Order: sequence, then C-alpha cells, then structure tokens
Amino acid sequence: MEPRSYHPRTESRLAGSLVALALLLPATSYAAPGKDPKAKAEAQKPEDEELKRARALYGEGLELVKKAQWSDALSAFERSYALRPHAMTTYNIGACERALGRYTRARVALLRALAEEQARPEQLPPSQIEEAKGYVAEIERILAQVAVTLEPSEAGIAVDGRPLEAGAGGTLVAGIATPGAGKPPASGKFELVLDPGAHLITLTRKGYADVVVNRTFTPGQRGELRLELEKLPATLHVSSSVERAIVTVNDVDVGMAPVDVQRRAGTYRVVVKRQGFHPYQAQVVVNAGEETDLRAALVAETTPVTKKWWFWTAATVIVAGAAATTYYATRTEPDPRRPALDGGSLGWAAQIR
Amino acid sequence: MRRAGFLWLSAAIAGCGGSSEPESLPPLGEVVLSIDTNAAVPVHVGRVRIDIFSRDGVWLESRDFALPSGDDLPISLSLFVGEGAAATEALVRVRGYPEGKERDYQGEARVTHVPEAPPAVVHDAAAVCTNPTNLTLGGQVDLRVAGGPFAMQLECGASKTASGVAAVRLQVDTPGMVRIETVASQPSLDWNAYGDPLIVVRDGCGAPAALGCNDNAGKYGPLAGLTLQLSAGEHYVLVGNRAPGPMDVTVRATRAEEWSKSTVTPPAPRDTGPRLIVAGEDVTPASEPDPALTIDSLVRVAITPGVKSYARVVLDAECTGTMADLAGRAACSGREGEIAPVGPIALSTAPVAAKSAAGTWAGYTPTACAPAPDASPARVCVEGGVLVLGDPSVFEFGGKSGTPERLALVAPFRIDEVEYTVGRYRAALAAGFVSPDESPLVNIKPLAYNPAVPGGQEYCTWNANADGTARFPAQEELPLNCVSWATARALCKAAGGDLPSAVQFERAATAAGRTREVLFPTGQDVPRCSDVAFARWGDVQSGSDACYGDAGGFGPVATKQEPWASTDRTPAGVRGLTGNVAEWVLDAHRGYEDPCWASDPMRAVGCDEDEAPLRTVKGGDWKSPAGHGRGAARRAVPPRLLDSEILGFRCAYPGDAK
Repeated sequence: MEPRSYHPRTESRLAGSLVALALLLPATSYAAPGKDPKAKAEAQKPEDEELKRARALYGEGLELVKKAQWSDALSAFERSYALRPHAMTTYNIGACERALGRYTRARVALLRALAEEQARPEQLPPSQIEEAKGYVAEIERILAQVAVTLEPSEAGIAVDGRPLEAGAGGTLVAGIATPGAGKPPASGKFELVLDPGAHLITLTRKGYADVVVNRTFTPGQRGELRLELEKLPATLHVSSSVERAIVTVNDVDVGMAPVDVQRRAGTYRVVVKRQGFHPYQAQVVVNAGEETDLRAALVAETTPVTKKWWFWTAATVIVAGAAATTYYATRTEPDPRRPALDGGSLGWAAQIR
Repeated sequence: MRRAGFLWLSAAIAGCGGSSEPESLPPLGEVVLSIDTNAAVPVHVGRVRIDIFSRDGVWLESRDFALPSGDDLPISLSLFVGEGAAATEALVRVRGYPEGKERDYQGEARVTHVPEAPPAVVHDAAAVCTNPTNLTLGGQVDLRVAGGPFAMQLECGASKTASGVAAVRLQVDTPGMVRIETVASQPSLDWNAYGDPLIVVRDGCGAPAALGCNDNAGKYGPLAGLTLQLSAGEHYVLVGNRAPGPMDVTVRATRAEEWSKSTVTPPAPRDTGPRLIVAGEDVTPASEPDPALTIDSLVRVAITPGVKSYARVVLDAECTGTMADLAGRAACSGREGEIAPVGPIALSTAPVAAKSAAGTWAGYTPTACAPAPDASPARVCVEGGVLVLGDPSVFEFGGKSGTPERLALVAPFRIDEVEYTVGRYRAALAAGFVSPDESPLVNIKPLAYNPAVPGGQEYCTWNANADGTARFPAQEELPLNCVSWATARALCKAAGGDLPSAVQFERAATAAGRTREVLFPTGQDVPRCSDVAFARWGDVQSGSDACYGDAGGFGPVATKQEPWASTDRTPAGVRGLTGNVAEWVLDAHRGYEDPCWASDPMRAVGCDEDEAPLRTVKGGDWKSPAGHGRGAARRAVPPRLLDSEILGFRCAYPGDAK
C-alpha cells in the first residue's frame, strides 16, 4: 500500500470511473485486427502477446486503483499504454496523476485522451468524455497561474527540477517536462501555470551559482511573481568557533552566532567579537539569492604586558608623581560623566524612542 | 589582590592631591531585562527571538540568538532612553523555540483554535427524521453517516445505500428550479469502495415517494447531484453511502440559476503584521518562530530617566503553543491556551538572581509505569514525557501530513512489544472473541510471491482449518493483517487495552528512551534491508523491490524473527515499528491544523471521533519503501479496509494499571 491522498472536502471521484472502465476495456479497447485472414494471422501473433501483456498491466492498474495505490497504478497504466496506446488508458493515466496531486500532468493526459478519442472515436464512452472534460475544467480552477517577471530574461528557469513547457495561450507550464536543467523563456515576462503547493524554482545563469527560490501557491492563485536575480536577498550565515560571540554586519549588531542575516547583494564588513578574544573581521561579497557561510575562528587573547599587575603598579608610581605635579599646575574642573550603559550579557542596549 | 598595591597607591596620590572627583551624572534611564526559561535547552528552546517595540507599537529592533546549552541562561539585554527623554515604556516580545522550527514571516494576529464538534451521527434508522439538519438555499451543511449496517436503505434506480443515512430539512421560500448536490465526501471517491454518496429528495422526511434522486452527478460534477422543481415550503434531502463504511459528506443547495460549479474559495486576505523599518529600509526578518512550538511572552517595561533597574522574564514551557496577541497586548497567563492582558513588569533596583531554571518544567519528568501485574515481557513500558508531534519533512501524496507540528505531553503507557500475531488471534477466538465484521480475511494458501496478484487477500496471514487449528503453523508468529480498524480495536479491548493513539505510537517510535527525537524508530539513519522488513515486494516500478529476493526476501516476517527482531527495535524495547506491517492507531485522520487536533491541550492531543470516515495508520511495512517507516509519517485509510496485506496493529495499555 502506498500512502493515500488526503483531500478533505475537495476531492472528487476517480476510482468510480476507473473501476467502471475495467469492464469496458477488453471489449472496446483492444479490438481484433482487420478482416483479411492472412494479414490477421501475421498480425495476430506478436499483437496477441503485446495485447495480453497490455491487458494484464491494465488490469493490474485497476486493482491498484481500487486500493488507491496511485503511483503503482500509474506505472501499470503507462506500461500498458507503451504496449498498446488507447484513449481509455490515457484517461486513467490522467486520473492517477490527478489523484497524486499532479494537476498539470493530469490535464495533459486528460486532454490527450480526448484528442485520441477524437482521432479514433468510440474508445471512450460518452460519460467518460464528459468526465474528462469535467476534470479538465476542475483542474483549470485549481491550477495556480502567476505573471512572472524574470530578470535577466536570459536566466534559465526550472520548477522542481524540470524545465518549463509551452502551454495553451502562450503560458509556460511547470511539472510536465522530463527532469532536467532550466531553460531561458522566450521572454522575460510570461504566465506560469503550476500545481498548487510548495515549489522550488531554480534560476541559473552562466557564471553564477544557481539560485533556488521556495514559493508556495494556493489553489487557483493568481498574481505576480517577480524573480529578479539582482534583487533577491542574499543570505549570510555567520558561525563562530566560540559560543556567544556577537556578530555585527556593517557595524549593525545582528545577534549572537550562529545567525542568518539576509541582505541585498553587495559587500559587507562582518565583525565577530567576544570578550577575551581577538575580534574576527572579514569583508564578504554576497551574491543575490546565494547563501554564504562564514565561520569566524576567534583566537583567545594572550595577556599582554600591560595586563600584568606589576606593570601598572610600577607605571603608576612613575606616572603618579608627574601627574600630581601637572595636576596642581594646570588644575581645572573635570568633565561630568555618566555611568556606561549596561547592555546585559548580550551587550545589547536598545534605545527606546 | 594583584591590583591592591596599585589601588592603594593611586588612592594615596589622589589623597595627597586633595579631593577633585569628577562630577557624576545620574545614569540614563535603563532597565536590564534578564531572560530565562524553565524549558529544556536546547531541545525545547534552542533559540530566542527578541523583538522590541515602542509604547505605540512601532517595531524598533529584532534579534535572534542561539542557545547552545542551558549554561547560556539567563541572557540579558538593556533598554534605555536617551538623554533628555521623558519616562516611557517598551513592549518586548520574547519567544523561545526549538532550533529550525520557523516559518515564513506571516505576522498575523493571534490564531486561536476553537474546538469544533464533528457532525452528529445517527445510529438508529428510526431517528433519522427526528432531528434533521436545517439547510437554506445558498448554503451548505456537513453531515456524517454511520458505517452500518443500517435498517433504512435509500434507493435510486439500481443503486442502494449500504451504510447509514442522514437527513437535511431544506427550506424553500419561493418555488423554482433548485440544484441539490454533494460537493465533497470523505472518504473521497478516490476510495470509492468506501465512500460513494447517494441522495434522495422527498417532500416529507419519511415520505414513500421521492421527488428525485441521484448517485452520480454526471455532467454536473463528480459527486451526486440533481436539479429539480421545488415548491415553496419544507423539503427533505436524505443522504446515504452506497459503500459499507462511515462517510462525511457536504450537501449544498442553490437556485439553479445561481449555481456555480466552483467550490474553490480564494484564501482570505491575511494581516501582514508589523514591519521592521530601519533607516528607511524594510529589514523585517524573513522568518518567525513556529507558533505551535514557541513559548511566546510579551512584557511591558517602564523606563524612568535617571534610574537603572532590573527585571526578569521567564519563558514558561507550560505556555508552549499559546500565541501572544501583540496588537491586543496580551500573552499566556501561565495556563496553556489562556491569554491575559500584560501589565507592567516588576522592576527591582538590584540585579535579579543569576541561576537559571532551564529544564525544571514538570512536564519533562519521565514518569514511569506502575509495576506490571505480572512479569510478562510481552508489553513494554513507554515512559511519559514530551513529544514534538509531526515533522515538516514528512509528506503524503498531494499534501503535508506532518505539519503543523505541536507539543504533546504523554502519560506513561504500556505497548505490545511486537505486533498482534496470527497465533494471538487464534487464542483470542478460543477465548470467545467474536469479530465485529468479516475481518480478518482468511487465506487458504500459504504466503508466496505471485507477481500477477498485486495485493489483497492472497497475502493475508490469517488461516485456519475447519476446526479452527492452524492450517499453516509456520505462520503463527506472523503479524495479523487484513483486519479492519474496528476488529483491531475490539481485539485490543478484549486484551484489556486499546489501540495506541498516534501520539503514543510516535512517542514510542521516536522519543522514548532517547535524549532527543529521531527520524526512524531505529534511529536517525535510513534503515537497511538487514535492519528492517520493508520493500520486500518485487515491483521495480514502484520502488518496493529494494529488499526483495536475494536482497532480503518476500512478505511479512515473524515478529521475533532475527535479524529484524533485534535491529527494528527501539531503545525502550518495542519491536517492528519501522517495518513488517503498518499499524492502525486510534485517531481519526485529519490534518494537524484541523481543530480536532489543533484545539487540544498538550496533555490530551488526539483526534478520536465516532464513525470517523478515515483512520490513521502509522509505521512502515514490508511492501513500501523505507520512508513510510518514519516515526512521524502517517497515512489515511478507511476503517473498513479489510484486505490490506500490509496493515496490522498492536495494542496499548494504561501505564498506571496495577
């Protein structure tokens, strides 16, 4: 058993139609060869073998459908189709894809089933033709369609590891093409049709690392999606060899390491510091959409001579005499001072305005 | 000591020079805010998000800190007002959450989960018309029909209902054409052998003649529906299931001219929340802590110029999942699920105690089972404790099943060491057990791989001769499969227990006996064929052949067969949770965001409903790929699925039973 789709209050009937078709298929789908006995005899043998196997696979698919093992059922139908194409099998492939939540693929298969029926009529009963049209209409309401602006337009784009494929009305459709590298669209502005849910959009450009954008689309979502490589935020992940080290980026305190900071592409000065350690400083160039790891290796400070108690004692003796003399010579009122801000263990003093 | 000489000398010199101390100004107004938690660090609280707002709600700063260990606590920061500023107040939101448990920034107002009763179920045919659900044109209602057998049967042509019936009273004010239809069912018709609606429209609920009926809407859509002329007044829509099983169904009625096929509702516009603008640039953090796993605290801090004071915030683990109401200035009152207005935080003039309370929350105490009534090793005690239910990396086909995660506190319980076996069922029958349905299905053949039979009764393990003795004695230690949810539960009740809940199963699988949760009951790594009985089916296409044949074998294995009995074993000693057969659990299957799950307090997380149309199955099985054995994975299955060769069960028992 494969995991089942859970479609609370939205899904509709699939297996009903599939199971019903099981009885129709042998009678209508795999018709005997032509009337010429000779040709029939010649054609019969290999066809019989293929036909038998195609039927067995089809039957296997239907059994799997009864148990909602859609992935296995799809595989059986596809293998059956490879041996003996038939509109009914294509219809079932579409229904399985739909049950798996792969609506763009389901739509392609269902439209193909209708086209096959038109080319070779009477493969699908009228009720199934209506069902297929109903599913296509339903899927079109479910699919998300967004107006994409891709800059630069020569960037390759792939969704979930598949390039886009041209669809009806000049749209580009995700999820249909075989897995592969992204391809640049014909234009930087296009309508993208894709299944609702979470998708990984990969943008590639020669000489640059891939940029992966994670976006979630709701059923029937419409809107805009701007994929501007130069404007995508870069992520800077800063970690430290020492715990509780404070990280600043361009002198702005961003918290304790490890920390993720999102900034526009550019050059940033990163400082990681902790008391008792030499501050770590780095100039980091981050590219749009990329994630950059920076690990600060903090080195403990050794006690300098100025930190030895005897140094200051001796120095004080020398300096004090001179200071006392100077003081009396130049005595003025000292500047008033405020206690330093506390900042707590995080060294973070936030001003409230 | 080292500097004593220096200080003494300095003082002496200063004394010689006369008194000329620099004038000391009063401090700027400052409050040092110390942050601590009684939650375990870093498992429960691995990061702290601190957001600072002005009195009037302007977002001033946001930082996020890692807490690698409890030794880092308490942490502290200070809030101050600049020179010449008047007394003011800051609003500080402090959130503690586990490492990595974040979501995209949504910034919405507080989300409350209101418990929602499942639709009432009519079990008695005579009561169907007693209290029908009311429906007006343009509206829709959710109904649940019982699983049957049922004394009332609806008919429509050759179709008949095989389960319960529910009635709807439809009020029509002016006569006209009306469209009545079922717009959704569960089990959906993907599982059409278990859920297939049929509707009948009558003038009176018990009227003998129907105005119309349908079991398949044809051109109108995939579910049952019909359009008919109705007079003004009351009419009745009766809905039943053509399949033998419980079913949820949504019935809608509209005027025919207003009917629209679309049931997709656009998502409601969301409150985008406050934005953090610094120097004119929007630097709002891209993510925020997942509210369901976050301890969310809100404090008001008064700052008085010229005064330095101290305050302490403790993130109380009891408040996990209780989201604060930023706009309403309210946060968890100290009791789960309750929020109260936030008053000014108490200030002191001396620093607050530095000792951290991390890990002291009573919820963590692993509570042991009471001594067992006998020394039987067949049941394993699973200590009580805390569990993060779900896992965002677990997906079902078409939708998420492991999210949103949430915290659950589990009381100690006992669970069968191994899955319920064929031999145990034979003993139950001998002791007088009577199955409530026709399961477990009997198989008259020994188990053997037959590629022509993709699944079903051919691989059921239950077998018996006419006198009830074992037909295939070698199969007595195999797990019992091909069994319905109701029969599995009845067997557990007969044994003095019940089916384990999903929470109990997951705690036993991923958390019990461990310091932190793991992915598989066997540990953090994907199991191998030699560890777990999975993918022992010869279908290359479906990827379920990885452990078939020479790589492992075929079919289920005896519950104590080595090496799996030793390797598919949790530290607490529960065997076979990762593979062999998947297992029924008590709960109905719904998304974790459903009120049935989300509105539960953390000490009672579960979703058991009367006549639930889908039940939850957990654990991997001998046929499926390894991923199904993830502790957080779950599947939705109609309770009357009888011929599943990969589905069995085990029982759980109260941990406090003497």
